[in-house]
Amino acid sequence: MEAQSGSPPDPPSRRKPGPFAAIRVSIALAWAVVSGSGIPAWAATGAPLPETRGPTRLEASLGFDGVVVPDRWAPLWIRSEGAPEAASIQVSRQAEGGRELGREAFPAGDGQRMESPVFIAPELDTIKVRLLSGGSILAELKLDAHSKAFPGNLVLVCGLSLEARLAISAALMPVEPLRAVDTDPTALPSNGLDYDGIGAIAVSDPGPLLSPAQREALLAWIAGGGRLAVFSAKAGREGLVGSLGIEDPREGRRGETGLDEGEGKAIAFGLGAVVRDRRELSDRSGPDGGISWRRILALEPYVESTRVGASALERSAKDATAEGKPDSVAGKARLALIAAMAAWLLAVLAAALLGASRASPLVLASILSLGLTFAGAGTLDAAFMRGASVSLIALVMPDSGAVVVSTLVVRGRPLPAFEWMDIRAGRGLDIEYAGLESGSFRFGSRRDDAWEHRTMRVGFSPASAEEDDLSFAALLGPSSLEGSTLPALVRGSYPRGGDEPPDLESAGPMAFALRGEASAGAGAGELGVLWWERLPGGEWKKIAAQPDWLGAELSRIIDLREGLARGSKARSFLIGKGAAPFLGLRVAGGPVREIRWILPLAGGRPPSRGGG
Amino acid sequence: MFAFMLEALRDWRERRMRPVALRSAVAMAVVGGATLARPLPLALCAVVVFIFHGWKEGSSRPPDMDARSVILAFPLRPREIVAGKSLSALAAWAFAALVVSPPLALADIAWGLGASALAACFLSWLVAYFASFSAAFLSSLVFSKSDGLPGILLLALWLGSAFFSPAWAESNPFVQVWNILKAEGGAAPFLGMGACVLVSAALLSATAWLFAFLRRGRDA
Repeated sequence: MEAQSGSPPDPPSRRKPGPFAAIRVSIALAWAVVSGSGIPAWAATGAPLPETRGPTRLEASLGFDGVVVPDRWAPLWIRSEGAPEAASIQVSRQAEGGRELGREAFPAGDGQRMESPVFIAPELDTIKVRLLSGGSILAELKLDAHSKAFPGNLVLVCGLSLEARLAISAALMPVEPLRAVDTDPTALPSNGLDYDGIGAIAVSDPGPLLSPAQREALLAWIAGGGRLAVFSAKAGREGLVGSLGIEDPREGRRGETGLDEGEGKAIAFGLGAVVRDRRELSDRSGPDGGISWRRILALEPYVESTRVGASALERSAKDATAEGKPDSVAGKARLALIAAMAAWLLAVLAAALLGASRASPLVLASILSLGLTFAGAGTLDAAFMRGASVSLIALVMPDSGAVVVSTLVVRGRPLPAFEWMDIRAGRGLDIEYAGLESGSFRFGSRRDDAWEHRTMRVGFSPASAEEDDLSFAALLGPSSLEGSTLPALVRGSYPRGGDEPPDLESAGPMAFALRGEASAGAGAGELGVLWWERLPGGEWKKIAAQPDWLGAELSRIIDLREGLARGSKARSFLIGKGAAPFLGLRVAGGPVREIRWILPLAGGRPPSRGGG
Repeated sequence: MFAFMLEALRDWRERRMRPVALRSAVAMAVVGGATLARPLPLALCAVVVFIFHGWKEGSSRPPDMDARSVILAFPLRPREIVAGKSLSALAAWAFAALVVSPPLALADIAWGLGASALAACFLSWLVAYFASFSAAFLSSLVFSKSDGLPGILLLALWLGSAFFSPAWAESNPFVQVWNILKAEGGAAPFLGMGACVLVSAALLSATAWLFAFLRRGRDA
């Protein structure tokens, strides 16, 4: 979609001002306003018309060839030309009826293709993109968020034949269709979040074409369980796989990846893998080239996706929080409120009765009450959280260091809810990461629960800076802040080749859980979990069941058989409780306490270094 | 003008300040305690409190005199008396607003009421208070000792119009506060407040005119 305001000037010789020039200009201006292609807000505000570099052009598109997957992140591509240097792009996400769900702004970057991840939430109806400069709207576009929504596996295909694309589209038939979208390798997203809706990628090796940002984003997706299949693969750094830096001497683990002879070699990377095949697809014989796209691309029915991504974590937190038991803080909070109200009433009564007809005691009592109320605000704020239970997930993308914060507000806790009394809370929840970046999240829903998706850029990149270690950190609630319901920290790490996890010395109690099938006894073949707990000296001791400190609420989130880990390819998990050694986080001005975290690991043994 | 304002304020301090504070505090504490200081019930309760106090302030008079005699006895021009009375009412409102502000601050902190919404609510309460005050002031002048059927009718018409016409709904302070806190209606509550301000100004002008008319009749 494209909007254009202004047009290249005609050569001077052709321009002959006629008697109707003023009328024509008026009509043109009126048309520009009516058509909405470039509402000249400066005309209404009286602000001077910003100087542009030529004809102003704004283009925007959503998803891959317009295709998006509901409840997943999708890329929003924006390009502007001819805008002033200080121009900015504003992205407004709107629900049906025009209610704004969220807004983001960033520099326009003349001529550059900008990429802004958007969560395709059910309530999202329209995405409005504006090119702004000095308070003026230079151009505006509206995109329908669900016009090409596809609730299933989306496979990106680069440089493969139409036959291959059709074969991929039928890979999961008759169970379900999938959507194969042809795209240019250079147009792949450069933000890891934008891969959230992609089930797999199949490419004919384009060589080392990808930018560093694209490579990091692609690696982050593979590490989370994505599958990249490269055909006509070139050797070494001349090929895509080599340029990604994941040449692995142990490649060819067919037994683990389910590939047959002739279907390429799989290189495991984190929880995902890259399949590399040096042959051309057209060299193959038999139906579909004699290969199973389902195996090569590790395609699973949509609802059984095993990738670890932002949306998977969000679902887990939502389930856990919505079903949580009533918070013990409810009684204290209720008592505190009623006591504060009674104390204020007594103060006014005393001042009125003792002060006779003087106003000063009443004024003094009111000012004193106000002061005490604000002095106790921190405690009250933390205890109530606007009367709602708040659960956060903050996902730090390893590729870009962007922090995606999803906020779930569940009404009705810690205090009972009365629908008609609910207000649209104007004050946000302030979240601060390691003193580097902070953001405020406004809760604006009157429904029982609501998600707010926001992205923040932080000035650090976590362990992804290490060449051989991709990791992410996420918050997964709830835990506690001053006794109220707040988030817990979850950190995932995908070390390669037996790398050790990061230093966890500063963490508190720690456990190691290994998933697997019981090999003997009555429960043979069933999925079970073996537990180890770290002793104070750093040794690991095998225990019969999950440790008590894990807590019922967290164990529901990470229930290794039913919860987060059900579909995860991770075999083992390192779980801890205590201060957050990874991410300095403050919510509503206070430190987050009782943080619980989990690291999905590719390995199958308790860490011998760093953790104990 | 200031002489009348100070006299009105002295009268307010001696006879109405304590009842205002006590009634406001009891009403807000009961509603706040019952609803755990939820902003919407407290804000609606504050509308009742301010309309009531506005009415009492507008129709105030010494116990042994009628309102018309008190006003006519002042050797000031009508518009000075109306302005002085309005200023003293404004001071009384500020006092009442200060008294009820602690539970509202509590609601703000506990339930995340935005500062802009709180400010808009206070504006709505001020406008409602003045509309009620203006109606009662005019009524007390027309009907002397009576608090006035026309005033009550005006009040009922004002508050009841919300039920009959959606176009007039936003002039109702209950609807205004509701829409401000529910974030519905956009700028409509402010349009409603503007309409109320115009009506209040018209009522005060009518009061000044009536006062001048009565004085001419008396002097004649």
